[in-house]
Amino acid sequence: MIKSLASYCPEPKIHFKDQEEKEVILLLLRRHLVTNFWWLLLFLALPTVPFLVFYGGFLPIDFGKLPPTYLHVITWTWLGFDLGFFLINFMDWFFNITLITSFRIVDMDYINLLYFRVSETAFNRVEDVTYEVSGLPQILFNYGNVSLQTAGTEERFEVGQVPRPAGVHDLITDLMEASRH
Amino acid sequence: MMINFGPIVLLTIKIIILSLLFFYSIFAWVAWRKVKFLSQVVETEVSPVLIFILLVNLFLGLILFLTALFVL
Repeated sequence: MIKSLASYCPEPKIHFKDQEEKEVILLLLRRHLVTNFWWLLLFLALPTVPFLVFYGGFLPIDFGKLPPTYLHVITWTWLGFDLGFFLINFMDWFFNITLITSFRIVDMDYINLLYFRVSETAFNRVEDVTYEVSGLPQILFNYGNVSLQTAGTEERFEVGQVPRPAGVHDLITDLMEASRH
Repeated sequence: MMINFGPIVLLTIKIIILSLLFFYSIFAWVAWRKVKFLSQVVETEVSPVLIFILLVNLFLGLILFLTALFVL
């Protein structure tokens, strides 16, 4: 199960809709785990807010006058929203997947709760692959963006903030070569 | 600063909390449905666990809403 939560997973034990019989998933990619740092930190810090506000005296309002049931319900509501914040961000990370299979590249974009997009391109349609590593966190943790230019007027494929972008680039170029022979 | 938590202020707080919890319950329901759909698009080992967590989250939202409705 831990392997399913990886952001760089060669030959994952997953199956996707429209997967063909002989199609093998070679690599599963998600955003690097480090990119989750800020929202995880916020998720851990948010539960302290009601206690600081109600009992820490950080606001110039005497909440001691508020009935205890209100304090409890407000606190639990806040904690519920904190859990919701965690789930939204987790889903945003978990379902933003790029799959490199033996036939094609499948990009699943989870934008928000109400929007989901799946796009794919075959290797023989890819004209150019570029990867970039920019900024201190990306250099320190070895992650970056990989973009693919497809044939015609189709939009570019962007695989953002994935681990080992050089390795991903290498794999895609190898598969492009193989598809042309 | 002294705020007199009279009936009107308490009623306002109650309405705000109930509205928030109502929208939270709707969010939890949509999130659960969405993950059920997504787990059919990509089948992973984590998906059933995530669906269960979101179902618990949905019940949590409903329980909080009903608690706020009857307790406040």
